[in-house]
Amino acid sequence: MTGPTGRARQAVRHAVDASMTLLNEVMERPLDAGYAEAAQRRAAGEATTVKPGVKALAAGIAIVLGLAAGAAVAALRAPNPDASRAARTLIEDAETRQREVAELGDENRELTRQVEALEHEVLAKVDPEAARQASLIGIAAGAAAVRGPGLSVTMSEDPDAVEAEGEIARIRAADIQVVVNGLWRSGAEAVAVNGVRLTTTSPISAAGQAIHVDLTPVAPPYRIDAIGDGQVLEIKLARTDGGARIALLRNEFSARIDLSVRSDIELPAAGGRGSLYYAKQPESAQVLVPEEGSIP
Amino acid sequence: MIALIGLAIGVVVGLLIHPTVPPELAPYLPIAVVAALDALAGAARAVLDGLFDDRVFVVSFLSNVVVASFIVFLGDQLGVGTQLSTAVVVVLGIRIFSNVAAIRRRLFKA
Repeated sequence: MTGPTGRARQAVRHAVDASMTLLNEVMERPLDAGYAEAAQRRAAGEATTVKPGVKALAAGIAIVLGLAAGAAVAALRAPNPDASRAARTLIEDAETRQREVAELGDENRELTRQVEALEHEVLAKVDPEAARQASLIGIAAGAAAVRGPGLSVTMSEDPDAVEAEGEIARIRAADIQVVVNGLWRSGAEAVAVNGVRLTTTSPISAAGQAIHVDLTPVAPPYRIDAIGDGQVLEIKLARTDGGARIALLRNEFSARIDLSVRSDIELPAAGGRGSLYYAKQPESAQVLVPEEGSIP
Repeated sequence: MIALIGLAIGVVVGLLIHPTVPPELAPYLPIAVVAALDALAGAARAVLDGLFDDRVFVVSFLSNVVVASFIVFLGDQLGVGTQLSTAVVVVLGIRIFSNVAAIRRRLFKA
């Protein structure tokens, strides 16, 4: 045989990838050397009989190791406890605050009702005519809780349509605005959206996906209650932009919109934020009337 | 063989009863699991080669897990925790691949 001997060839080969010895070691001998040594010992007839104690110990340690591995896997698969704890805390916080808001709102309404009753009582003693007028104004201004016959419009999105068309098929603040305006135009005397009474200054606004009525968030289904002659309201509403919008939402976006004439609707007083706006007669300013003959 | 059965029982029990892992150990869990997988792949190959030995398996499993975790711990103390974790994962990953490849060759002759 010519050429380098086997040993020399091996030396050359090793020299070529000498820098890879570590990787070679890992890749070519991945099996723990202990297994081979144990096999060798067995072959040599050394310790052919394993003591039962050793076997039991190995089994015991294996169970413990398995337990630890299982626990580790379970712990790694579990959702991050910190994140879920934080989320839970935030949710609890939000729920507590919502309850507080609801309680304070109830208290506020109750106090407003008492104030109204007392005002009415006092005014009725002093000036019955003014008291009568005040309650009429209270209805128009939304300051008084009212009841009477009327019309309810319930609007909700078709979930399938929302799924298919995304944002387009949602009911928007503008839709509610148009319907509410249609109701006012049709002669509604008092209007509320999901129990939030509207006054002349109540905004219906969009905040992202949420709809706010008088700064209170409302959720679908949206129910618009209007007090008036229900049948007349329904007929007149159909001729307004509100009616057209209802038809559009129904036909194009398969929104579920129900109109029902009801004999008794009860609406709360408006939010009672109590900001009073005063109108004042101008005192200093006078209308400039050009003097006779001063015009050149 | 008894060690493998014991390990299987332990894993099932561990997955079922969800023992709580001390939070101080949490950073070492992923590496420990990879090391355990390496020991398991080695054991599978040894079984196929007819070289399996309970004592060697238990000792290699334990030392693999402990050494891997210790390297990560050391890395954390030295400020190179991520790099050392990567190194351990690379080495163990290569070993797992090689052992599984050997098992595949033996089983499928391909």
